[in-house]
Amino acid sequence: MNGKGISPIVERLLLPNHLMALEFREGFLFARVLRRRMLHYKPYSLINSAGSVINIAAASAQAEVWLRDPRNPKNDVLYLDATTDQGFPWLLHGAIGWKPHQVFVYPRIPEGADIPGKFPNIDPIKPSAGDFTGYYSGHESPYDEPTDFMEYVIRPLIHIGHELYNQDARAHNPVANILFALYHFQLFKPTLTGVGPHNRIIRDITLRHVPAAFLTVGFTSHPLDLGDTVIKDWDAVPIKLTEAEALEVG
Amino acid sequence: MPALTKEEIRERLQTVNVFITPAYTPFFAAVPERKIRFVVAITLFGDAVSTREVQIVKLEEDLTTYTPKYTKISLAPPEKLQLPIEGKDLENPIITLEGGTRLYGQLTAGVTVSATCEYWDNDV
Repeated sequence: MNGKGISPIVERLLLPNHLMALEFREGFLFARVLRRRMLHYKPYSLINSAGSVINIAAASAQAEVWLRDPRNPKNDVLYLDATTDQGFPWLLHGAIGWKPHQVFVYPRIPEGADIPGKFPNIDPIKPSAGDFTGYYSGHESPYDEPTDFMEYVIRPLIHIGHELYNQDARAHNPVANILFALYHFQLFKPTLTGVGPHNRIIRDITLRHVPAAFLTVGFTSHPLDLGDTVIKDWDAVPIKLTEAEALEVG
Repeated sequence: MPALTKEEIRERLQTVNVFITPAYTPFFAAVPERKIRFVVAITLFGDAVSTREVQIVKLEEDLTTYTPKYTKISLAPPEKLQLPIEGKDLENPIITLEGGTRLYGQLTAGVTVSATCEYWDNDV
């Protein structure tokens, strides 16, 4: 995968004290990872809301599902049910590897929303028809080595949905390797008028004076909104990159 | 994207059994245009009655040209014969079928012979 801009997700995950810029619809947040916890669910056998294994028939579609906890199907594995944890903002960052590779996976971020990864000038993607675009599969993100072909950055209080289509001539139960890092992080707060304690680090991240990961929460053409609840609980001040570049640093 | 892995090829392996008759007997419908189908083995089973002669032919995309691939395969009554004789290899197909082509078996004498074809496609 390397050399073509697609990397194993483990090469993209951050370590404690790494810096990041998080893009939301309202603007950018700047932060430092304080804690990282690796999480995986492997093997994860796709189930429905009743907890039954989903066996997708040959050349058939599976309507949108959450990745539910088979031990308690009410729970979405990729859901953060509180805006903060232990006093820190948190989010999930990772990827999912799938098998068999004949099953196409169409993510919806958040659930019910447009499918990301669409060419800008084509009609909406129909997972129910097994469209040959807008999907990823175990070929792009292998089960044993999930890649950033589909990189998930999930903020609290949103659900991620997946539709699937089995292109094979045999029925399959899709099996996933859900590989994520859970970050607890410190948000840097910009001071828009005058000099503030975090202005320099924010400006340095923006101007690439220090290494930092740029992560889009949601998907490129459609970053997710932070929402009033998260903004309030995180005490977040999203700003534009141009505003970040112009911050006074004294 | 990387080429298909061996595991992916194994996942794609399909097996189909047909009874070859004196008429052209298709192993499967025409290969979809977007695919190339790699046949890795054909196994023929004698009918336990008499020696039979089988041929394997490819119908080209023009739907009129039959290209013989294996002819005059003599099959003794108790025999199980696999092509290739040296043993199958998933990555070294014995017949390659482009989109729009078909593969047939034909029996030159007798009623039916059981045949199993193993193949995989280069795309899903």
